[in-house]
Amino acid sequence: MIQLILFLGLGAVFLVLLYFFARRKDPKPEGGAQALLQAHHAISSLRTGLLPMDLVDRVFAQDDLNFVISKSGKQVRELFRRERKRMALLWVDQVRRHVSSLREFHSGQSRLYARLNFRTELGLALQFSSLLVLCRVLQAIFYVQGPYSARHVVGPAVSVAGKVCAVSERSLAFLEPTGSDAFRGSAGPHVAA
Amino acid sequence: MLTLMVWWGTFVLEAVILLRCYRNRVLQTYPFFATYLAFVLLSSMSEYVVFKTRSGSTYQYWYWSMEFVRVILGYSVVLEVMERGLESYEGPRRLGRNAGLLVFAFIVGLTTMQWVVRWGLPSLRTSVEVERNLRSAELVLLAVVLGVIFYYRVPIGRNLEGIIIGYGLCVATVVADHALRSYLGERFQSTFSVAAGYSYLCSLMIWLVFLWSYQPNPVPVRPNPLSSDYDALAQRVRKALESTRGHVKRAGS
Repeated sequence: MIQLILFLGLGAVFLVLLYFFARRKDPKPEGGAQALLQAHHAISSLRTGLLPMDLVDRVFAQDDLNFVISKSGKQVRELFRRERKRMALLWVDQVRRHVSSLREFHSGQSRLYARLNFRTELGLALQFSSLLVLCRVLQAIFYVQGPYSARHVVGPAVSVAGKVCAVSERSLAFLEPTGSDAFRGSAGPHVAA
Repeated sequence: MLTLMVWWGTFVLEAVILLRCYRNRVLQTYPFFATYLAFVLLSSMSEYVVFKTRSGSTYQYWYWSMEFVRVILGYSVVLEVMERGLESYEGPRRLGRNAGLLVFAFIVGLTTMQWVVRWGLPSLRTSVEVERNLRSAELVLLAVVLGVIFYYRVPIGRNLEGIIIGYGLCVATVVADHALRSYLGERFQSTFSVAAGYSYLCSLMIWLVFLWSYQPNPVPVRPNPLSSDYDALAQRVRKALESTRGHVKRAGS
């Protein structure tokens, strides 16, 4: 019975893969200016728009909620909660989209390298996937419980998220002038018309 | 009657596809696929003749001999898909080849072991299980190729797309068929052979549509960069990812 389930499962999973394969859109051309622009946009959005400490602090700020609770009625409180939940969901969604865009950029660039390292590529693929799954999990938590009612899960985020910006800026420094030489050098001359 | 019509229908379609492949450049580009299809056509015809003129046991022996050759030729189709689909992408092709062959070696090794252990079992059951396992390895190999094409967003031409979809559907059906046959026994054979016939007809129609005219795979416009650039790129992306992940994780903890 286990064997039957295993082989039928294999066939079913493959058919699902085949379905997505048949439906996939035409990939963009290699090194196209559009891909570079998207990657740059994703990194700068993460650096300046989504991961800065003050923004993350503000989205999950408990002080704001406390203030609204102490000064306003039930309707305003509910509206405030709804808006904050929407904001938190948007934040995670944007992070996920930009990480996804970075993944596409990496796969689009690295496919042209002759000596890909299996272990490195597998590690990167797993890291990208786990980060994207983590974003989905956060989305689910925010959707079901909201950024405040799930404070035992999200709570420390308010204090920790501030550190996101500083370290992220360092980690994404490869598009900064100091670290961009190799980046430009590998992509610049090959930009397709 | 309907089953017989499907059978004859597959003969006609196979012949038409081969003719089209001969007339356009598909035959030259995908010789292993064309060989596979030609062998399927000829072997099916010979099976029909043996079925009509010889005893049941002779037919069974003939069928499984042909099936074994079909499996071997099937592997050559999958390898051709990998080589042709990723021919402009040396790195992903090497990755796919290594990963695929590793999985293939594992499953074939496991099957051989199972075969040796079950030496005394009736040959028909063993044949079904061995083919199921070999086809499963083929399916996994094809899935690895698809995974590489997906992950690296490799653009492929319409002909190759058709070969992959049609052949994938065909092999997935065989795996499901043999899994059910080895579990439920031969009484299941008559029920599912009809469904398998329709599924194969479906694959042939896909091939007919996708292989009607020659459409080559898109060729990348960029030369391959040096490997040292790749190391730098991978290192930087990994660093960026690790850091971002750490932050998102902390935000959720």
